[in-house]
Amino acid sequence: MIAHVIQCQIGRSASEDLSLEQKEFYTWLGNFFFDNSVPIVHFSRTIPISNYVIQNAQGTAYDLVSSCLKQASDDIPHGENLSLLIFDIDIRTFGQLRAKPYLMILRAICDWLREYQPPEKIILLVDSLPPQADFVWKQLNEIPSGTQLIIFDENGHSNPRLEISTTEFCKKLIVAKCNPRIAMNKKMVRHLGHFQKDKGGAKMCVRHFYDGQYCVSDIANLLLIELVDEINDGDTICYHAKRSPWVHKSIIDLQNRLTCKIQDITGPENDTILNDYYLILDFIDTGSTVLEAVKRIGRDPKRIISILAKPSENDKGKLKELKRKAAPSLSVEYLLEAEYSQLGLEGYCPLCLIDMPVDTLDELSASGTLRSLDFWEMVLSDCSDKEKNPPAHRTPETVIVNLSMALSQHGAFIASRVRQLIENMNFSPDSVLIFPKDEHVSGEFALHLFHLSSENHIAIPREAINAAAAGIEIDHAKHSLEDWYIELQSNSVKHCIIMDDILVTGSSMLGMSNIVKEFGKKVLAYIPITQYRGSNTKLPENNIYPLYSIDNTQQPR
Amino acid sequence: MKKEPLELSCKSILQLLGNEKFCTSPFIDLIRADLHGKFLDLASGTVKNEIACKILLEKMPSYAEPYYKYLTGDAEMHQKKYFDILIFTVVPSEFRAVKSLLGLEQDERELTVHGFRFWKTTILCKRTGKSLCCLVSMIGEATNVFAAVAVTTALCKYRFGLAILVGIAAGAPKTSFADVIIADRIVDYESKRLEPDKAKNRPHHWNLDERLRKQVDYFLADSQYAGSGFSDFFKTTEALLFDKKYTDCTPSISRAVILAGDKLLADGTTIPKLIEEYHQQAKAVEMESNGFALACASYGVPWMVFRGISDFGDPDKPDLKKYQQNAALSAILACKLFLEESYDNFTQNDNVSYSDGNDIDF
Repeated sequence: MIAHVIQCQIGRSASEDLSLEQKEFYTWLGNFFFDNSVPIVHFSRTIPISNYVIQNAQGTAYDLVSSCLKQASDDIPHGENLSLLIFDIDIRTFGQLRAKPYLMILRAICDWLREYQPPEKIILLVDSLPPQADFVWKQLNEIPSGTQLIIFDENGHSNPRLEISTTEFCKKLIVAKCNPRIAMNKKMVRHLGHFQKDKGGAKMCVRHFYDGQYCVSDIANLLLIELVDEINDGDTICYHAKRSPWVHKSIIDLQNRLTCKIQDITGPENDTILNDYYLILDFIDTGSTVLEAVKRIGRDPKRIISILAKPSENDKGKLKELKRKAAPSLSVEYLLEAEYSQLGLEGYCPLCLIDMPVDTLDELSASGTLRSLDFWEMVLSDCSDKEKNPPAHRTPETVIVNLSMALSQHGAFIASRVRQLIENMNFSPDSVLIFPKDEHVSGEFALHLFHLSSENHIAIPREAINAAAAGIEIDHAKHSLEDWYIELQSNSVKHCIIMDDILVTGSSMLGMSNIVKEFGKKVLAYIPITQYRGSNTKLPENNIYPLYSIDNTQQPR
Repeated sequence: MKKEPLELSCKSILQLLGNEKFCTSPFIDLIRADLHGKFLDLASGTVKNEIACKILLEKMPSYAEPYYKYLTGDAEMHQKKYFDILIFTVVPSEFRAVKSLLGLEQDERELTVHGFRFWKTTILCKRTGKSLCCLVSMIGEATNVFAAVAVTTALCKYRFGLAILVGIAAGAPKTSFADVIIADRIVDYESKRLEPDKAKNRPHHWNLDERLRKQVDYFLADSQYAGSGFSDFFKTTEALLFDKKYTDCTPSISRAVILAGDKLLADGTTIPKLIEEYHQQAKAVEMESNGFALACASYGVPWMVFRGISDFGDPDKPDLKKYQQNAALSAILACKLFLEESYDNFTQNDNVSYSDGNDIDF
């Protein structure tokens, strides 16, 4: 028995291999239909259907899917038959599946089925089950009668209805798409800035602010995994998130998938809760807010989960115990550890003394670059280093800012600045980010950026970059089977943004630019995290958008 | 896309460099180079000088030396902290009025310098949208000598864009209670040469800066304050702040000559004689403006004087003493309205835009 899995990624520009978690999910799903005997599963690389294709070239979707299906047929060993095809239409961030491309995909499947030996079963995975009168059914009626078609939505509901555990389906699918705990870790942004919080009526200045706007669905997914097996229909999910609107969005997302009520208990006027309840918090420090809220409500919740918590010595793992007088202590589970440093009361903190304005999230959204204070504080936390992997034509900078520690501790924050920069500059949402491969800094950075914005990224080996910088053409024979080559060659990649941690003379970025142009792609911009101003001789200055510029010329002007 | 203002960038790097924890960092030269590069891009000379002085005198003298010739300004002269406005009153009743109107609280006290206490406050200049940072204090004693000493104390310690004396004065016969006189000239009536048969007047005078005079004229031409406009403002404010109201007054604002000497006039006859002798356009007589203007001129600081008429230099003066605060309120109200509606700080560098260069990209 052979099963084949094809995943179509709507809103992506480059093809990739399926992850281990995804393969495990599809295998589990396949086992359900074959009484837990494991069919031999083949996995194709994903088919990217970019936003450009969706809006301008829907026919391309048909060609891409057809080509992939044909390849799947060719891969079946002689004498074997395809028993199961799992076709997953996975809608990614910034992508949306409009009717015509959807139709193209389905038509490609139906045409393939007519041409080749159709499998016993086809499982189609979509975001939501189409209504009965939808055009999708009209198209799917063309599937040969010998093939059973089952459509699943992301909540595990199927047509026709099957006796499959929807909660288990949900949980496995969530982890397959992206482990929400890992995603939250990468996407929860700890902004550096000058913020304020209320403290006993006064304003206390703090250095950090946690922003979960990029991981709303991951928080919802994580809470779903935690609660789906125990929450009852009559239960209420209460949340207290005075300073975190992203918690509210996560709870709304969660409500759509759990049959329960939700209630915001930030204000005392909302304390009447009739049923058993779960309490979700954005942040817990001393626990005084929680204790007050529970006291107001008048009875204990079934469970308390906080997204963020300031850890203390008494915590056991990610569990806080809040002691109460004349009542048992309350346990609070938390998902992420949080740290913020208090600077002092308003007017007396060091940032107030240099007239730094108080930040709001809206204002942070208007800027994309890093402030001097933030940049240098991140850098100064690490030691110096000689520059690794300098281009062949120059010696290492003897003192170069080492961003590995900065990216480790502040990766999400830096990635959010890049994302903001890209959005503010109105670059194409289909842009692909190009990085040097195998460099810790660029690799870490790409991971954060990938999680934050789901933009495709392609990592090019240093060897190819150095050669291109020196004006040597790409060795196509050598590289043609490498991932970066295949991805860059894809027709769906049209626009690229070149990124690197440091821009000195510009040679590295020029090398990447030469490679990109050799593949016929367009370079939209160069975004280094740090630019040493005054030393770039290779790149057009008006196309460079550094997060931070250092003037290292040390010459008066 | 918004970028960090250069001034803030420089100040925050300076703050970092002042942290001992980072003194031995191998990046120290790089950070200094970064500061230096951004510093040179600053357009505002005032800000440049302020930062340069911090570098020279407080933070990194060894760093500053090779770059000294590229740092602008006289370090010693610009060592002092800058405020937009200095406001001085004379006696406690005047200071009470100022404190009430400007909402000064005890714990906003900036500093005590040689016994003078300064309160810090801001007044929003609606024309530019910028807040004027003000220091407010009280001389404590009448007469020009005390005024000169007080103002000099302030000017030694701080730098200002404008110094203002606010208080009460005796009015000329055609003035009314709480009228506000903005001095366009101060005439010192005390200076004389006494000869056997006569006294020769040698009045010294100080003229209001021409640029300020124009700003005053624009202010007075504003229909809000012409006719009964200012009077309404005053009455509303007086009712808000004071229990005791002076009834039947309809104060107005005008620009006129003020005579300044060292005599407390209460005989009913001296004021008309002084006006006749020194300047027919004088509308007020008081005891501090001469010393005040002299001190300001010595430091090159523009000055203004706002006086509210509290009496007429006659024997009825004691009856009006309980309303001195109200007259002072009229003066400080006019002063505040002028700063909000008409004032333009021309003492900053000419090559700086009104935004002070803070929004220049780097």
